Amino acid sequence: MASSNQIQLQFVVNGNPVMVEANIHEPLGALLVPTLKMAGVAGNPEPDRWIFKDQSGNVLDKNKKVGDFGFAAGATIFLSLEAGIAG
Amino acid sequence: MFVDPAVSRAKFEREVADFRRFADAYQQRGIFLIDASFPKAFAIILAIHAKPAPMLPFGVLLDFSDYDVAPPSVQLVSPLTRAKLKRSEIPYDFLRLLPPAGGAPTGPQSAQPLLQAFVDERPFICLQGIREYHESPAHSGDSWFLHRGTGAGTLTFLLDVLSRYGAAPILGPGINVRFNINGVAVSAIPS
Repeated sequence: MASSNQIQLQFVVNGNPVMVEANIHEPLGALLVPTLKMAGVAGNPEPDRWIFKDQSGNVLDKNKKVGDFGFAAGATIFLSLEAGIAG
Repeated sequence: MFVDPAVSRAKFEREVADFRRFADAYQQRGIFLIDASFPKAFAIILAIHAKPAPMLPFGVLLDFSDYDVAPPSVQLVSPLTRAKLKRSEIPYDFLRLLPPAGGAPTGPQSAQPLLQAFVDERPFICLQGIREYHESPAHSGDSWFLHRGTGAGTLTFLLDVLSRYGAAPILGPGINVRFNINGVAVSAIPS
């Protein structure tokens, strides 16, 4: 049984959904690397190039604690890769 | 073509399915995938923040031939006729702010135009994950294989970036009013 500190969230990485169990006291950004790994993103992820968005495309503050967003269990969060610096 | 079309088709169809699974959320951001028939996909992207009503500045035609040994080709097109747009037909630059130089936390920021063209007929998005970028001699040092599998070049990534830099910043039509002097104003005629 999941502890009351845990919440299941659905992250969408490049369109690919991944279910992640998160601790409500950890910052949202702490979920980035394990989520990308679960989604099979190749290479070393560059954390600064990924942004969290809600369903409407609003950017979520990755430094904020998971519990502070008031997500419902199973809420969908989109992880989007920022455009790289091109020359 | 140098990749077995069956392989590219399977990857293309997986990406389209991934997009469609969350199509409702993408539509809230103004991104609509209209057609997807291997190797091409056609989408329209609305400027949802434009007032007094959302605008439809462009469509995008993506070609996934040879995917993903090669990244998709991306062409901006008329959202109605799907004719390729010339650079001069797109009245803005898809600007993005760059972080301050040298990784400093603060400092002056410059803006990079993502939309570029060496000739008017062939505008392209200057971005990793787009075939036109990687095929440009100017980017021979930034191989697609450095980005393949990282998320760059996927259908959702490309439509998201085009929405963010190409459509979302549009707030409304630009109005240019030109006044012509066609006479002079005079006071009452003296007696």
